[in-house]
This record gives sequence, C-alpha cells and structure tokens, in this order.
Amino acid sequence: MPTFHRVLPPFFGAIAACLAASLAIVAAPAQGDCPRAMAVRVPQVIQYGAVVACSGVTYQTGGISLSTTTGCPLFATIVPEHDDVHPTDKRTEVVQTGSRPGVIAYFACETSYLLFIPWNSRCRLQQESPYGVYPLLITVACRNP
Amino acid sequence: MATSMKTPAQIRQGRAALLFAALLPLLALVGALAAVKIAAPAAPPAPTAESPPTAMVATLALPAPATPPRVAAEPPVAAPARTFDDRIDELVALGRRTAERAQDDDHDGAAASDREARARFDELMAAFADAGERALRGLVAAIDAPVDGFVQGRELVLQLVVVTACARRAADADASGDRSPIDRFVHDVLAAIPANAAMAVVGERALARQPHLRLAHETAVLRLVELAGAGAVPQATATALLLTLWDNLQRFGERSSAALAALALALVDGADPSQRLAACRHLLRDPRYRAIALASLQTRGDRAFVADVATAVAQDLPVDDALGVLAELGPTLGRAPHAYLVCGHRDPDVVADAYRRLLADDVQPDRRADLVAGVGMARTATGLDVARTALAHDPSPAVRLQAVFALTANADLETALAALLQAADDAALTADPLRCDGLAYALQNLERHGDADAIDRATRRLGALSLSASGRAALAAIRERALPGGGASAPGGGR
Repeated sequence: MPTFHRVLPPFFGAIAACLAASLAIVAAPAQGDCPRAMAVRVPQVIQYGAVVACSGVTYQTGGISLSTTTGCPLFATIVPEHDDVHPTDKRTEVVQTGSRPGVIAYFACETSYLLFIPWNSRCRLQQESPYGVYPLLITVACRNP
Repeated sequence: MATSMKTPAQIRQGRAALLFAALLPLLALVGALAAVKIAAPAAPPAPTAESPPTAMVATLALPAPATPPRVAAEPPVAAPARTFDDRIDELVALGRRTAERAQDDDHDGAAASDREARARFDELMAAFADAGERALRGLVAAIDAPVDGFVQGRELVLQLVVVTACARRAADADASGDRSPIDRFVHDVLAAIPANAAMAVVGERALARQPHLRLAHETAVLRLVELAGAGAVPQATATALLLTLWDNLQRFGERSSAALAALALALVDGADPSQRLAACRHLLRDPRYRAIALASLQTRGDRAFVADVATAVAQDLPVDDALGVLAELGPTLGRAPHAYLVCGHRDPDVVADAYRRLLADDVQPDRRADLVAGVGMARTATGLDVARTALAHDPSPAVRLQAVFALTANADLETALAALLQAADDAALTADPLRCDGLAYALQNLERHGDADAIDRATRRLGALSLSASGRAALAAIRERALPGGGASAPGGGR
C-alpha cells in the first residue's frame, strides 16, 4: 500500500497555484497582500500510449506526427501550450485570460487480414476527446503596491 | 563429432543440398525440354500441381552450374541466379498482391498468396546464410522517411528478415552452445542503429525485451546510450536496449543484481538523460532500491524528466506498484493524466479500486482526479462506473469535472447530456471560470452523437456560465459545426 506524503497540487498541476492566485486577485486589494506570482509558458507536450506494429502509419495533425518509425499508439495525450504559475520576488499576480483543452487522441491499427507481410494495416484516428482544461494566464502588477 | 554436432543451420543447408542433388536429374530434364521449347517457341504452360511454377524451379536451380544442352542451335539461357534483392522484390510484390486481394474480400486468394509469401520467405532465409547482414545493409542504405509505397514495402520485408535472422541464430546458439554467430549479428544490428530512424525501430524490435543482448554487447549498448544523449539515437530505443541488457545480464548470471544496482546507482544522478532514465527504471522496478530512486528524483526536481519516469513506471511496473510510485512522485510530478491513462488502459479495475479507497477516506482530491481521468478515459465499463460514482458522490468539484469529461467522452448520449447539465447546475463546480471552460470543452465530446437538439440545449445552458473568451469561442464553434446553419441564435440566454 503506497504512502502519501502530502496532497498533490490541485487541478491540473500548477493550476493549484493559479487558482490560489486568482483568489488572491480578489482578496489582495482588501488585505493589501500580493501573491508574488508570475505566469510561465509551458510548451505543448504529446505523450504516446502503448505502441503496436502497424505498417501503414501516416497521421499528422495538431502536432502529432506518426510514421512507421513511431508505430501506432493506442492513444496520444496532448497537453496544449498553456501557462503555469511560478513564485517570484516581484509584486505581481496572474490573471486568467483564456484556456485550452487537453485532448486524448485514440488510434487503432486496422488490419483487414492477418498477413505475414502486414501490408494493408493502417493506423487510424478513432476519436479525439477533450479530457481536461489548461489556463492561459498573464502576469500583472499587484493592484495594491 | 563434428558431424554428430551439426547446428540447425547446418542441418538446413544439408537438407537443401540433399534436395538439390535429388532434383538434379529433373532439372537437367527441364533444361533439355526448355532447349526444345526454345527451338519451337510457344506460350509457356501455366504451372500446375504437377509442374511447379518456374520461379520455384529457378530457386532450386540457383546453385546449379550451367550445363548447355547440345541439341539446340543456340545455347539455352539458364535461369539466372536470383539475387537477394530479386527475392526481396518478389516478397514485396507478394505482400502487395495479398493486401489487394484481402481488400477485395478475396479471402481465399489472400490466404493462398500469404502462404506463398511465407514459403518464399523461408526459401530466402535458407538460400542466403547471410540474409540478416544483407537486410541490415539494405536498411542502412534506405531512405530515412520513405514516402513511396514500394520503398516502404522493401523496408517492411527487410525488417522481417533482420528480426527473423536474430531469432534463428539465437535458436541455433541455444542448440549448439556456440553464441559467436548470434553475438556477431547482434553487434552488427547495434552498429547499424545510428544509421537512421528506421534502423532504430528495427534494432529495438529485434533486441529489446529479447534474450540476445549479453555482456559482449555492453560497450556497444552504452555507446548507443551516449549517442542518445547527443540526440543521434532515439532515447526510448537506447533506454529499452540498456534495460534489456541489464535484465539479460542478471537473468543469465553474467552479472549479479547487486552489481547491476550499483551500476544503476552510479548512473542515476549522472548528466546523461538516457542513462539516468534507464537507471531510474531499473531501480524503481526493484522494491529494495525504489526509495533511493525516488529520493534522487525528488531531490533533483526536474519536472520533465520526472514526467518521463512516470510514464515509464506506468508501463513497466505492475499497475498497483506503479500507482504507488506515482503517488510518491506526486509532489515533484504534479498532475500526470498520461501516466494514469496508461495504468487505466492496462488494468482499469486496479485504478478504480485505488480511486474508491481514496474517496471512502475523503483524502487527496487531486490524486482522485488523476485516477478518474486514468480509468474514466480508458473507455471501459469500469471507467464509466467510476465516473458516475465520482459525479454523484465526490466532494471535490475538480474530480466531478473530470467525471464529466469521462462521461461525455464515453457514455451514451442521454447519460453524457445529463452529466453535463448536472455539472452546469453545480454551483461549486461552476464557481471557477476555468472549470466552466472545461464544461464547454467537454461538450465537444457530445458532437460524435450527431444530435443537434442535445447540442442546442447544452450550448444554451453552458452559455449562461462565467466562461472565458476561449470557452465562449469553443461553444460558438460547436454550434457552428453541429447545428443547421450554425445555430441562428447565439448561446448565452438565462438559465
């Protein structure tokens, strides 16, 4: 049974800090407090699930590029470019300006016939499903210096 | 002694020679008949069960010296010796023909063609003792990213030759006790891996998680790991080969587990990411060293590297153990939907049980969200069951939103729409604009049902929430795609 040292960061990783910062935006003026937070851009990350051999692998969209080299993954998780909240010494805070969805792309290697030379297998996109939401943030000066 | 200890390869060659000797008179007869036919040309007869196809005759005639018959005015053209490349081309053509027949629903024809491909492949492997080396040379010379189907087909067949050559030489080594042929060939494969991306795939397919890599290859594998650090070889390939090597060294008694652990411990804090990743994976697989590896990861705090380790752990370890390690990595890792998805695909029941335990204790809501993502998006009945439970009973709005994503993505339309509308009425969930945007993105999952009324109803309801500009744009785009005319009225009416 695993042991847990502490509660993980809230919703979608560093969004914990984002939410805290968002709350702070409301609370800060009244309390004269500043969260000293800044937005940091996080690049898109694509991770692939278990790969099956599939001869006809050709797929390109939204940064995913599959080939005979990559094989055919069961799924790919696409975390979009978004912003993370980092602490800073400066008197700044973050404001949410928008969001982007995280997406799971499901693939299947379709083989119409079990062939010794698997010529006609094709890695096909079956479904793209949003699975989460990531923030777009900007850094602004705290309103109460 | 030498004759009684023949290797399978020698036995195969001996059988081929015997077969050739037995058929020599027949071939001479065929040659004579051919000479007569040349004198009086006619359409060649179709091959029958009694008369094998000419290609087969040519195969058997390959080592035969030309014996020109004397009856013809001109010497007959002896069947040209088919080269390795000829045979590869033939297999490519067979593969293509089989696929075409299968696509035309000619299953009997495809099955026959497939059997012929297997037979011709066996002939190729028997005719060329160095088929593996020849295939390697062909792959190294191949274009890195073939776009032409023919080139791709050749590559497929050559890959098959390399993998088969590895397996056969390993079987020969097991039978004879002489590992030098397989060791040499594995060396050749390792040396070819940096040539191009396709070779890396072949090398990994032939060697990773196979018993071929041994102590004799340690230097070559470590060289590949070094090259991976410089970006010249895919890191996943180098890591997989190093892990396989270590597994084999331990499995075949070439190095003790303690010695391997010591090596991994020396590498785990090194600068080379491939070495570090392999060392981490090796240590994390052994409960005795898991805490040391975790401590190293937590001390270093390299989030991108920890994410790679998390994915590897989700793939390598039993799912229960993997979930434990992911929990330990949590503070350094943050959210890790991909790693949990890998676990959810491997064993949804274990992930579901882990979620239910945390829910019963009402602890770690953020880890619960990861678990619901992992099992809920895995498209299983268990995943839907967990998502329904989470939406109905989980006190965390973040977990409830995760359940909405799972239900909209994978449940029937009625359940999906009900989940979305229930969430839209959930004051705690919609108190955060980011989560409101999440509901707008989840609505996109309903589009696959093609029900315009459901989309219209949901977009109107979600339009009343505190969405960001991104969330509103997502709703508008969904209406544009799903409703006739893009939906005459914009969403955003009252509740």
